[in-house]
Amino acid sequence: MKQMLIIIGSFVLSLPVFSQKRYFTKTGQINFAAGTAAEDIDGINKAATSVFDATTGQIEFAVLVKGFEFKRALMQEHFNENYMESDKFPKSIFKGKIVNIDKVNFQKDGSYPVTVKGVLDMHGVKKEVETTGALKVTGEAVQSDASFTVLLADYKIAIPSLVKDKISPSVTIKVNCHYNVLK
Amino acid sequence: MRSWKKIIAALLILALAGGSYGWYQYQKAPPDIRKEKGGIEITAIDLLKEFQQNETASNTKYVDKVLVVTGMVTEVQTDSSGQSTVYLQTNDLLSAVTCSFYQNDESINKVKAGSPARIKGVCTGMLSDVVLNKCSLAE
Repeated sequence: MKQMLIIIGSFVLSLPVFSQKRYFTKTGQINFAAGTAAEDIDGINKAATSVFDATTGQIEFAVLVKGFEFKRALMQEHFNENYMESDKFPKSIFKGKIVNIDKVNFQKDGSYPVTVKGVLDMHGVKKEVETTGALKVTGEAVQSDASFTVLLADYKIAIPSLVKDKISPSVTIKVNCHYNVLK
Repeated sequence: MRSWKKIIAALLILALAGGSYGWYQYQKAPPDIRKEKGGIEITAIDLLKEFQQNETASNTKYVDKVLVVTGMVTEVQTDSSGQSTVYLQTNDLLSAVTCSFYQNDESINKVKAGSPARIKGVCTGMLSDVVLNKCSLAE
């Protein structure tokens, strides 16, 4: 009986060491702006999934390309059919790391600047991206904010010359997630 | 001479009609799914099962289509901007059907965790969950 208590006791005590705290969301918002002075083009997706590990800093995002919403029906159609070819490439995925995760104190409320490095897999092309953002800790919840720019040409997304003045060759992507602890 | 003028007038009208049709098409907002009739009726349990068994076939069958999904509501989340998300229970503990509602849609007030609901939306595919956007409570 005593032995069992010791075993159980040591197991309970060792738990915090083994348990890696992970945060997740299924309602991450990702929006992008690809417009120019001649035309506003932006889309928003409100159901991106993301998970990150508070110990290692490993972070992942996944988004369904068909889930981007636009102000105009035609934009959504062109986005899916001509540019992103979402029937062929239905998901975009980012896998990377928050390189300075050790600077974030998840026990203390506040906004912490972070640097994220990783690979963005979009339109069938994998490419390294790096950006800075912020993690805002409020109790058990964490909010992330980041924005970065990608060149469409890097992802083999061609813009027809007819609409060259309307679509920007570089696209700004903004990411905003409200994470909760994964239990 | 008269017929020549008529042809020009006809061409002008045609160009004008074509132009305005093009402009209309170009400006057209995406359809409001709340006003769409019908939709594919399915349970959340079956929808996830189908996607897990064959994602490619399910993408063809369901993505971009209006679905009316019935299931038990496990959770309702609303953020500060008025964006609500409803999770429907499936037979898989780790996966749900995620229903992202229209922003500030009032039908969300009738959706309660622990009660069944019929939700209409557009299927966008599967991540860990099957995802629907442009959702509202079906009548």
